[in-house]
Amino acid sequence: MYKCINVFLLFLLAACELEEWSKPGALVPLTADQDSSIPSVAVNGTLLHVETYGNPTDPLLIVIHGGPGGDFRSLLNAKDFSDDGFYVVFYDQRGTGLSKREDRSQYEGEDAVDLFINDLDALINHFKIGPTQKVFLLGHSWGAMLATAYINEHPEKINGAVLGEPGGPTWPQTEEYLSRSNKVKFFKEAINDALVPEQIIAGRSEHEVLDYKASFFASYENAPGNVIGNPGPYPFWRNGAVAFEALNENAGEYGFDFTANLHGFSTNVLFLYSENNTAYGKNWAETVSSPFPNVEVAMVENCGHEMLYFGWTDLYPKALTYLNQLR
Amino acid sequence: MKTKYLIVTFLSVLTHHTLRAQDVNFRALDNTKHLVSAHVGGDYGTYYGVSYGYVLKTRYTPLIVGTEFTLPFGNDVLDDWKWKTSVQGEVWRRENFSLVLKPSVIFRRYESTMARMYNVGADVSLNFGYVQPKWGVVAVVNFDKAIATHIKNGLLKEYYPEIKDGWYVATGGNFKFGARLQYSFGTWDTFVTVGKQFGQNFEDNPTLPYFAEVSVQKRINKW
Repeated sequence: MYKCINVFLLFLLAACELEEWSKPGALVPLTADQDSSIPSVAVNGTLLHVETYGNPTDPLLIVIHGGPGGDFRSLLNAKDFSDDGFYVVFYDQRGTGLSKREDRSQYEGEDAVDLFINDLDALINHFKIGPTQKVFLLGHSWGAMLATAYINEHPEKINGAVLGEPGGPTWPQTEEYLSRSNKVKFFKEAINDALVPEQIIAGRSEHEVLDYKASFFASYENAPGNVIGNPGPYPFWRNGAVAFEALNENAGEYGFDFTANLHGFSTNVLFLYSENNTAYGKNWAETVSSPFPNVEVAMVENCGHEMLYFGWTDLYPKALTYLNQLR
Repeated sequence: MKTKYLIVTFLSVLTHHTLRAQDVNFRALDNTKHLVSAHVGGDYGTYYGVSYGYVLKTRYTPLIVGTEFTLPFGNDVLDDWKWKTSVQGEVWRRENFSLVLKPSVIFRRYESTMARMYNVGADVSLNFGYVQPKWGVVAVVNFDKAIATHIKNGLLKEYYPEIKDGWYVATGGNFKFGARLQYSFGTWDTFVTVGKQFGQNFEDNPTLPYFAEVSVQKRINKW
């Protein structure tokens, strides 16, 4: 009898091929260092997933995604600008998307944001083929904050910027915005969908496992009833969980202020906010864009925070008109 | 004795899943045969549930074989749930001091647009404290281990078609450290537990760092 039970159990074990959560490629895509078919550029000591569209001699338009920890998959509508005479460069930031994972310690120093500014600077230097080639930035959410930080650091290198709903150029402003946009509703399905996996995927340190778990957490902001106006989820490759968590902790510990030198940036900036993001709105857009001496604030209709994905039909002509004025 | 053994075996097999299940005031059991409870709380989100415990009188200490069903709050009632079964007993006592051991087995389900998971886990709790028939203060230590999980990816499979569905092993675990106040009156017990939770490596910790639970229990001598 016991023999029969043992044989049966062995059969069951054999039938169930058990996978390991952290096996590369099992639950999250391989990254550029693991898969050589992913287009990439080595800069500043890391390997970034990069895609380019258009003629390399045209004015550069660098597209900067949100997060931190997001990727550029939901911003790919912006490759339309390549048909309008721009050389469009998308990249996944350090440690996120299909870019190479990096150790958490890289994001823990007081100068962690400088690392991202330097990555962007190295990328611009990589693609800029002459001193007369103009460089424009298109940043969304955290990407718009990073664009602001870059302009604050290198105002002379940028010929224009389209900024879509950055939380704020200072940490207190970003905190204030996040308190509205990510307000926790304890009795809603959204909080369960985001957090219940934490009792199953718990206490692990492998980046692949943390990235997979972050996929569930990221669903919170797009759940039905969200205040940022997204009608649903949007595609991504991989949430860079370590970069996201460490940079948020870093901001909480050290804070940031990207406004010190913005008064010297006289170029007009196009500052966009979305019609359906009730946590943002025109007043907040005017408040957080005020450090720029020359700014045009405009609303993108019929969409929420993820405006390059859900609001492209309205955003595209507004951004193109602006870029054509400065090219 | 044989009957009791069979009941324990039957209930253990029936339940073979758990975590929080059935708080008990061992000083107030008297002739109690059944424990029926309702609980509400928050840890990885907010939840509510019911539990049942059968009291087995043994030579050394009463043993409570319990089972508990917990649902998170939210619009989709049965997409996520946890079923937990435990056996608990007082493994040490001196006057009013008490140490209770509670091993459990857990079966849980999770579903969202991203993925569906079925998980088999185990958990063990140690409760040490000062307990009188009317009231008590107890320190609670709990470890919840997720042993194996079956994943069927939803939206994540659209985003990444090569993603692998199937069984994944040794997925992780969480510690809980807390304190429990308990108060008994008539045939009723109430328990309030609060504490902090950590991932098993104390680095990858739950987003909500604290947990709290309130439960109300009816002691029944006969059905």
